[in-house]
Amino acid sequence: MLNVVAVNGSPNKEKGRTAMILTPFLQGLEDLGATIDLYYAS
Amino acid sequence: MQALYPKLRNANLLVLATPIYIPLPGELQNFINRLTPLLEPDIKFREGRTRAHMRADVLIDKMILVASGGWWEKENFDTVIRIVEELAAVSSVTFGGAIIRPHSQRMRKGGQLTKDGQEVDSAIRTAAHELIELGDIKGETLEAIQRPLVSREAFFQR
Repeated sequence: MLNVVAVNGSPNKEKGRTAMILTPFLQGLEDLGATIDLYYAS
Repeated sequence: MQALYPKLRNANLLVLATPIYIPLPGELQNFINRLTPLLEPDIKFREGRTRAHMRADVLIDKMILVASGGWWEKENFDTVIRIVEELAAVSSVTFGGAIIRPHSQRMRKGGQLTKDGQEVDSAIRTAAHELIELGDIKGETLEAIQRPLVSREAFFQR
C-alpha cells in the first residue's frame, strides 16, 4: 500500500492550474489504492 | 508543519506540486528547507558528492515533481526539475519523474477542460497508474503530458 504526502505550493490552492495538474495524478494513485494526504504550502 | 512530520515519516512517496515562478514560490522553498529534520546528520561522500540520507524512521523512498507553467516552452521547468532532482539526490531517495505542463492555461476554456486538456488529464492519470503498477512512469506518458498544445508562433500571435 502506497502512502503519499503531496504538497501543493500554489497560492491559488485548489483553484489553480497546479491543482488542475496535481488532482488527476493523485486521483490516479487513489484508483490503485494509495492513501493521499494533501497539504498547501502557502 | 510540526503536525506534518509524522505524516511525512509514514509516506513512501512525496509529491511536490508547484507553479513555475523564478523559480519557486517562497512557501514551497520554506517547506523544502523544513524537510531537513527528516535527514540523518550523518553525511557521506558518494560518487564525488556529499550526500545525506533519510532517518531510519522515515519511509520516503521516492519524490515526484508536478508543475504547471504559463510560458510556452518546457525548458522553463528546467530549474525547478533540477531543484527537486537535487533534493532527492541529497536525501538519497529516487527521483521518480517530472510531470510538467507548459502553457497549461491552454488546457481550459471557460472553466472547462478542452479536448486537449482532457487528453493531458487522462495521460496524467495513466502516469499515476504506471507509477504504481510498473514502479516507473513511461517516458512516452511524460511526453504526452508536456506536449505542445499550440505552436510557438500561434502562442505569441494573440
